[in-house]
Amino acid sequence: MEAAFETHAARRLRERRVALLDAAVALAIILIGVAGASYVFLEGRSVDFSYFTSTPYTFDDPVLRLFVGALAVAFLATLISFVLGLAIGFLTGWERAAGPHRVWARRRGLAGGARARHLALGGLRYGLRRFADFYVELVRGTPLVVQMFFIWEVVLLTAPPSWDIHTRSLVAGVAAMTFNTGGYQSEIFRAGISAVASGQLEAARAVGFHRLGAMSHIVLPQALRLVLPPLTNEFVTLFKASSLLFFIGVVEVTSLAKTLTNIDPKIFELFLLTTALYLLITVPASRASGLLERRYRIPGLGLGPGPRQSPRVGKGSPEN
Amino acid sequence: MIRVEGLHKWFGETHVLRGVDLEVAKGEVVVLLGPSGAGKSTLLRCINLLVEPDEGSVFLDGVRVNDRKIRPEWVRAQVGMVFQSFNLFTHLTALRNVTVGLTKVKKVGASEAERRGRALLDRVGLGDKLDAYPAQLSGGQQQRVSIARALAMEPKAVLFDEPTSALDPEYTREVLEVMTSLARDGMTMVVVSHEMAFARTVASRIVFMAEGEILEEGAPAAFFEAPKHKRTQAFVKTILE
Amino acid sequence: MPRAALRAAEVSAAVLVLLAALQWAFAFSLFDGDFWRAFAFPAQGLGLFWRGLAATLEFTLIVIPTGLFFGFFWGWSRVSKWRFLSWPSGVLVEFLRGVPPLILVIFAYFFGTAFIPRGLDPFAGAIFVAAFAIGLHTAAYQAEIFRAGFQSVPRGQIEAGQALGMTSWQVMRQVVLPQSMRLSLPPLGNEFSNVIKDTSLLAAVGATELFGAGLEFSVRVPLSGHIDWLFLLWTAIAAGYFLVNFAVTRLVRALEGRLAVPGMEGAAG
Repeated sequence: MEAAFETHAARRLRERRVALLDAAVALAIILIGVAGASYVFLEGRSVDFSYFTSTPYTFDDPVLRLFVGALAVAFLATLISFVLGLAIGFLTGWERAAGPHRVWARRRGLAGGARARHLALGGLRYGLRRFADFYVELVRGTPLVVQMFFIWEVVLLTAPPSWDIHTRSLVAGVAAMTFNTGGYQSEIFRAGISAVASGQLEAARAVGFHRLGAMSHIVLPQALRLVLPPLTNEFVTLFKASSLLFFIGVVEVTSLAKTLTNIDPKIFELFLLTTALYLLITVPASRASGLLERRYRIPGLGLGPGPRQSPRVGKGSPEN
Repeated sequence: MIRVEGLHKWFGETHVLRGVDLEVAKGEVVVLLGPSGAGKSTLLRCINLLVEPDEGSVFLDGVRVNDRKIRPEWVRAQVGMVFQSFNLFTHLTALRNVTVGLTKVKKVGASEAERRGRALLDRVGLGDKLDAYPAQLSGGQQQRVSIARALAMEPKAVLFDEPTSALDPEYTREVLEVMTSLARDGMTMVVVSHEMAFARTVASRIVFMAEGEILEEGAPAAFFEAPKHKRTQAFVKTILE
Repeated sequence: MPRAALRAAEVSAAVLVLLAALQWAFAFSLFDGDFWRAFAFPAQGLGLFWRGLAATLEFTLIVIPTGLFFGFFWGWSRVSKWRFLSWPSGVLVEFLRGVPPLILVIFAYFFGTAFIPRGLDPFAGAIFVAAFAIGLHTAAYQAEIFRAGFQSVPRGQIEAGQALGMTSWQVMRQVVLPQSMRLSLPPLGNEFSNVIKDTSLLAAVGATELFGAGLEFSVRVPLSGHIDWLFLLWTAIAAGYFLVNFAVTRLVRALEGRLAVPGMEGAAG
C-alpha cells in the first residue's frame, strides 16, 4: 500500500472534521452577521432593554403590554377574516371547480318548461362562475392596500353614525381582508377540488354515485386533506398582511411601532420587538404547514405551491 | 485494461462491497449477474468513480485512478456509462445530447462535434431523429441515444447499468442489437443485466456476485451448464426456469 | 365562438356589470371629466396618475432585479452541501419571509436616513433603501423558488453529466441551470406579480408612486366637494396596478413560450 493511500477509518475521520468545521463556520457567519448588523444599526450605543418596560408619553401601559394588545388585534382581525374567507373561498371554489367547459350539465328527459328552466339555471350558474373567476382575478391583480382603501371609503360613508372612526376602520379592514383572502382561498379550494375530482369523479360515477354524492363522499374528504397546507400558508400570509391596517389607522403592531418611533426614537429596540412578535407567529405556523403537508400527503396527488406562495421543498423528480 | 483490487465500500453501516477483485481485458465483454443488492451497480460506479471506494484500488490501463491526485473527470471521460433510466438531458435534442460531451468536455469544435454526432446517431439507427427531444422519443430510442452519447467520448470501455430493465419488451431488442454490434466491433464492455440470452451469446465472461463478493466467474457455457458454487447453482436454477 | 373572443366578451361584460353596480350604489360616473382632468390630465405637466404609474414602474425595475440577484444566490446556497452557505442563507430567508414587508420598509427607511452620505437628499435616498428592502423580501421568496427549481432536476441527469466527465460547474451550467430556469419561470412570474403590489408599501414612507399618488389626491378631494371622486380614484389606481401586472405577466409568459422545450413541464410540483 502506498503512503498516499487513505484508509477507510482515516477518511471517515477527515470527513467528520470537515463537517464540524463547516458547521462552526456557518454558526460564526450567522452570529457575526447578527452582531455586526446590530452594532451598525445601534450607532454605537447598546441595546436599551429597559425600554420595553417603560411607559411612553401619552400612553397608559408599558411598551410590552401595548404590543401584546396590538398583536391581539392583528391576530383576531386575521382570524375573523380568515374564517369568513373560508366560507367564501369554499363556496366559490367549489363552483369554479366545475370548470368553464361545463356550461350546461346535460340532463335527459326534460322538455318544454322544465328544459327551459334547466337551461336558464345552467346559464345563470355559468355566469356566476365566470363572475367568481373575475372576482379572483381582481383580488389577485390589485394590491390589498388599494382594496382596503376602496372598502374603507365605502364603510366610512355608509356606516351607522353611532360607529366611531376606530370601529369603522376596523370593520373596513376586516372586510377588506375577508374580500382578499376569499379570493385566494377560492383558488386554493378550486385547485384542490379539481385535482382530486379529475381522477376520482369518474371512478365514483362508475361505482354508482350521483355527481353531488360523489363530490361530498369521495372528492371532498380527499380535497380537504390537500388544501390544508396551502390554507395554513394563506393564514400566515394574511397575518402578515394585517400590517396593512396601518394605512387605515387601526392600532395593530406596525402602526403602534410607527407611532412609538415618533415619541422615543428607540428604533432598534422597536425593530427587534416587532420582528420578534411577527416571527413568533409566522415561523411556527410555517413549520406546522410543512408538517401537515408531509403528514397528509397523498402520494401522486399534489397541489404544488399555493396561489401566492413560493414552493416549499421540492421533492425532486419521479425518478427519485 | 480495467483492474479492481480489494475494493471495499460502505454506505453508512452497510458493507456493500467486500473486497472485490476483477480484471477486464481489452475487447472483453463482462456480464455481471447476481441477485439485487449484490453490489453490482456499486461496483460499476466505482470503476468510473461516480462512487468513491473506501478501500482498495481501481486501475485503468495500469494507472491507479482512485487517487486524490487524479481528477475523477479525467477518468470519467475515458469510460462511458449507460444508465437504466437513460438520463438524457431533457432540454437538449438528441444530437445536442450526443455532442455536449464533445464540445464541453473534450473541447472539440462545434462542426466537428456535429459531424461525429450525426455519424453516431446513424450508427444506432436514429439518423432521422437528430432534432427530436427526449420526450418525443420512445424508451428504446432514448436508450440508443444514450449509447451514442457514451460512444461520442471515444471511451476505452463502456459500462452498462441494467440498460434494458426500464424498457418495454418491444424496445429491449433494438437496444440489445446495438450492444451486440458494439461488442462485435471490439468495444470493452462491463454490463449489469438480467438479459440471459444476451449474456449467453455475447459475453466473453460471466461474473456472479452476491452480498458484495464475487463468488464465481467463467465463460458463459461453463457458467450456465456447470456452476460450481452452491449459490450460483441456486441462482442459475431460478433464472433458467 | 372562438375562445379568445368569448373570453374578451366575458371580461368586458364583467367589467360593465361591476361599473354599473358601483355607479348605482355610489352614484358616480366613470366619465366625470373634472376628475380625470384633476387626476390625470391637468392643464400643465403630467397628471398625478401618470407620475405615480411611472414611479411604480421605476420601483419595479429596482426591486425585481435585486430580488433575482439575491434570490438566485440564496437559492443556490440553500441547496449547497456546505453548511456555511446553506445555514446563513436559510436564516436570512426565514427571517425575510416571516416579517411583513411593511415592517421592512418602515425600518429600512429609518436606518436609511441615518446612513445616507452627506450631500445627497436623505429622504429620497432612504426611499431607495426601503425599495432595496422590498427587493430583499422578494429575494427570500425567489430563493425558495430557485431552490425548488434546482431540486427538481432529476438526479440521474446530474449523474449522466458527471459520467461524461463534466466538472461540477459544467454540470450546473449545462444540465441543471437550463432546466431549473425553465421550471422556475411560472412561479417567478407569480412572485413578480406579488412584488409589483408590494411597491405600494413605499407610500408609507413618502414615495409618490401609484398608491402614494392616490393618497395625495385623496387629501385634496374633500376640498373639492366631490366625495364620489374617491371611488373613481381607487378604481383608477386599481386599474393602474392591474395594467402593470398584466404587462409583466404577459412578458413572463412570452419568455416561457420562447424557452419551452417539448416534454419539459412547467412549474415544479
